[in-house]
Amino acid sequence: MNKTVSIHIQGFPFILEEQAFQVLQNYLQALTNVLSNEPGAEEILQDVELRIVELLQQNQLGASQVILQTRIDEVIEVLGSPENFSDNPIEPQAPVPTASQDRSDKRFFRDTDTAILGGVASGVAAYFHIDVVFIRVAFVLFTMVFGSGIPIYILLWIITPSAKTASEKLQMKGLPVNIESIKTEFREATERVEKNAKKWSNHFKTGSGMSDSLRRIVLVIKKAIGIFLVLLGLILLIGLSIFIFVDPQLVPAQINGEYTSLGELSSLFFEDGQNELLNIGIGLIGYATSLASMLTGFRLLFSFDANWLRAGYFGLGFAGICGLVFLTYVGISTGQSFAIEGELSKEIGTYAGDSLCLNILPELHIQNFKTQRNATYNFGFRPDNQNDHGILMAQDGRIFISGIAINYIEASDSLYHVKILKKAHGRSFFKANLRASAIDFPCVLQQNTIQFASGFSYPAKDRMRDQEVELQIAVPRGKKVIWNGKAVYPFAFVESPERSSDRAYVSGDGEYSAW
Amino acid sequence: MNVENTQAQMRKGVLEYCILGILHQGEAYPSEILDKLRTAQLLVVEGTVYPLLTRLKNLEVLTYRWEESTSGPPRKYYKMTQKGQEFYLELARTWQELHQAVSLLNQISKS
Repeated sequence: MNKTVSIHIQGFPFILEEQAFQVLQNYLQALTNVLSNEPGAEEILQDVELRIVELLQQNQLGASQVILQTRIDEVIEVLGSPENFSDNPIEPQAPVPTASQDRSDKRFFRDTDTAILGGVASGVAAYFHIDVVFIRVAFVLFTMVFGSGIPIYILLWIITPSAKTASEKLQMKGLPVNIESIKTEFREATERVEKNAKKWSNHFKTGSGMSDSLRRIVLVIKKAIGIFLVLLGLILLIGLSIFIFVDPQLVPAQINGEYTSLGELSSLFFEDGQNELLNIGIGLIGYATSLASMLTGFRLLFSFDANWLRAGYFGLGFAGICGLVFLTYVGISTGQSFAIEGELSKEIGTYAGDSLCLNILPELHIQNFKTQRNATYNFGFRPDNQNDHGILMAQDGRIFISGIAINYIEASDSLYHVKILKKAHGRSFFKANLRASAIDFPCVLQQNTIQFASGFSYPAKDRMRDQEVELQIAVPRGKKVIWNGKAVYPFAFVESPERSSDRAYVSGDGEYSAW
Repeated sequence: MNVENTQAQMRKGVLEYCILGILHQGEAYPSEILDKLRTAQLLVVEGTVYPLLTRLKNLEVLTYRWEESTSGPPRKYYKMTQKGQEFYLELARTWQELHQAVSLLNQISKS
């Protein structure tokens, strides 16, 4: 017993066995494809359809007789395979379609017949003639190791069409589009439909069985991934919105006496315009990723499909790529502004005595801060915890950095020479040197004492470009440098003679330490 | 290149000339043309003929008119145009020349 399909060809009614109908439909579809470049394609197809009517009416007992597949096969044999309709010379064909044949006609399609999500893995497997399991495992591995599997998958999903017609399905596998292969394809499709139908009927009959439980596990995993993706997208969305619109002050660095937000910190680092571009870029990438994740999650959960979906994914992908371009631009531009190091130096004086003293004034470079923080509140209360500056301070358009490097060299004469070196980076020597010259480092040599701050400051509009200050002290042979009543240089004077270093570091709180 | 392929190419080459030869004798509809070609054993599959007819029609070598049939679908009766006549005579001459050339070659190689 077989189903029949009632059709008409050019207005002539026929009743076809379902399989016969499928074969005929595939044949006409293949003809349409072959003739697609032909100017009179429609007319030729009409002629062919009329001829099919003629051929089918021959030897037919009446309009009510059901046409079987063998009859359709005969008609197709008389008309010839689709490539006969083409104007191009007939390509020599391998007798049996195999995997090793010419791949030039091969195209990459998504295989939605055996798909779990979008059929990308199945399509890849069909293209390379390998088992789809390997491709899926590869996607999962990529996702776990680099996290790159998901974007690659989504990208392929968006840009690759699914194989819909029989000839596209053959192209996907790299098989030639001719009658034999279309028949084979059709037979496989029929078997697949039958198998699925059996699976479903088993499901309704018994409600259990191996394939059914497997299917349910797959369904559960699908839903679980769906929930995970929706939650992930939601968390990302909320987190991103908080960071962009609320900009919480979480960073332990003080700007205008308050803890800093990421936005404020990045404005000290990135130049005007680029900072905004950076924020837009991060926003685009973040929102596109979170929305795509949620969309995919919802699709998995509710298995819906809509026309706008691909446009939506495409839009999100485009937004993400734009964001990436912005970030790349800002990154490269900022990188360039670090390219060249500028260094300025100035000798502030000499001293002829036997020992030079270091007088470090930790609060000197943050005078502005001090007045504000030492304010007396009502009832004579004064703030405690004076030294909690965090990693960085910025106030009233200036950035305050803690820490000074000291470098000892041997003097060429019998005098101490004290020199200040200011360093910064920039796009050019000129810009780097301008930045270096804008550094304010309070330091004086009075008699036998160098008085200097434990840090320095520079205008915030210069941005953080690796600004540094180094104190270079040339010490005559046999003379020493004293800090806190102890000789700190050379180390021959202290108890551990083997520890000798030409470099030292003064931290923000005014502590001296040798390197 | 196998023999079958070359044969198919050769047949395809002369098919146009043969169809025009049939239509030179008067109007005909595709099935008639196909029958004659098949009788002359020039035809392997019918598919090659339909695009050829449409192409010749588009080149204004042929025209056609519809006629109802008592026993099936309406028929497209193809007829040669004035231009077609000239076209056919050109082809006929070329065929003669080719035929002579091939026979001549065969004679030369025999002797």
